[in-house]
Amino acid sequence: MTPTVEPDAVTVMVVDDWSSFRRAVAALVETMVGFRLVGEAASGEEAIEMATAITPELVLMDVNMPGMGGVAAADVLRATDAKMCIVLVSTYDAADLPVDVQKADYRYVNKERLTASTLRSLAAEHNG
Amino acid sequence: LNRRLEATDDRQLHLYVKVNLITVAASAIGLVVVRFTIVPTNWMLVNAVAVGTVVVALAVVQVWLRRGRLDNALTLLAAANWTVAIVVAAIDPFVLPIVTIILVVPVMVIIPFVRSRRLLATGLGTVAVSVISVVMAQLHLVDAPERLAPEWLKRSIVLLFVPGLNGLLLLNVWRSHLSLAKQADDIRQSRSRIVAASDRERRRIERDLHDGAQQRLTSLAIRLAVAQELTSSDPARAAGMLSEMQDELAESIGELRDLAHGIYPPLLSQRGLDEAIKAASRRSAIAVTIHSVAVGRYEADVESAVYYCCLEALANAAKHGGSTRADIKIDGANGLSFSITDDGAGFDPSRVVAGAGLLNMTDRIGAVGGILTIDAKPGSGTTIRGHCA
Repeated sequence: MTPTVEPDAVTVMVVDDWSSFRRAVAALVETMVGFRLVGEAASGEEAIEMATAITPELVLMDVNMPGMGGVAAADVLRATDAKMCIVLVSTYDAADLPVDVQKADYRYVNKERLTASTLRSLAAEHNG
Repeated sequence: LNRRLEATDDRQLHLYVKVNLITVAASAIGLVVVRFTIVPTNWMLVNAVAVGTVVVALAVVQVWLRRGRLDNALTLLAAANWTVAIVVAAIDPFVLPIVTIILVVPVMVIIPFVRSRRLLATGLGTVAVSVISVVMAQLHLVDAPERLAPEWLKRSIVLLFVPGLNGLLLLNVWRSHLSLAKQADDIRQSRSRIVAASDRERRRIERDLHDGAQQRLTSLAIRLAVAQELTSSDPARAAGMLSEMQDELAESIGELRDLAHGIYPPLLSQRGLDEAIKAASRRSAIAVTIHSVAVGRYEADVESAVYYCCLEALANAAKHGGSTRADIKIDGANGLSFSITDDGAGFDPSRVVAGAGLLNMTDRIGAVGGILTIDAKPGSGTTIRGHCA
């Protein structure tokens, strides 16, 4: 299916130092009607720089990245745009995440549980 | 005999033997002087010869110690001490107080270096020889020295030698204490190094799993769901995705196999040391020849210690020594002995601080009660030898 330009599509950005995950998310979003991938960043720093230009509505942010890391980057993004839906992702169990990540006010999704329906319900929850 | 000596600082033992040698040599000369001045009997020369044999024996002990033949050295030390004690007690009964101290020397010397059974045997030997010495002194087989030696000389000899020999014994007690304290300290350090190495290894495995197979499998899980979605709407694209994923899955399986192999080589537990080392040498960066004799199965920790030691030695040879080939010898005929010889640059062990690799090998072999010696010279390769009982 070739995505047609959907002006109302939910814009998605994926932030992860692992390109294999970014590629998987790109493949996933590409098949979803009503969603559009607008940016891929390999670090928190790059995500902040990119987000000011593209203002995504939904950000999938890996927790463990070299540099500032996912949570700090999410805090910066939320401070600039309170409406942005930021979802932390990683391969770890939620219980194995550092306390600051568990306490942070962001949704958390295991990477392998990321499906089209998860993304849709995250976006719907955020908008609803 | 305890094989821990290689791991123990034996400089104290060398010092002790040197002091003992000088004292005994001076006594032999003293006896000859006394023969021609104060006590004109040839029994004094017999005394001097008896003491002189101890000088020779101690010289041999020194050579053996330098060559690492500790077992022989300590046996000779005991035999020489005890023989001279009996001879001197028979000829000069008045030196019995001195003889009783000399008798104790061997058992004091060996404390840090032997296992309990040998210490006990030497202790019993000491008691037996002391009984013989006392009996010999009581028999008065020879009476010339006793009769001819003036009282002042007898008193002076006892007065001089009893405190002197006690000083020597004290030196031995101190040496044993230092040696045992150092062994305990070495074991403590080695234990903490082993714990740290094991933690480091687990961290590495966690990172390898997380960064490797887990990332790949995660991405595959997401893309598999996408492909499933596409099977009805775009079957051709779904098929293409599945084919890509198959390749990636094969890569993940390969990564997991390598990782599992690094954690514990399957051949080592299934078939033992001989086959596992042969398999490892086929993967080595340098050419390896293996000679193995009578290698059977051993405790898992012994097999694993020897296996990783050989691997580490091969890795060191390739990485630091610039070697092109290495010989591994494994001999199971008497305990388990092994050696790895490479043709690399070698190094000067006295000038090179033992790196993590060498310490790791020493710790691993030490942990299973074995010993490891490193024989290296700049320009003539490195040989690592190990023995597990």
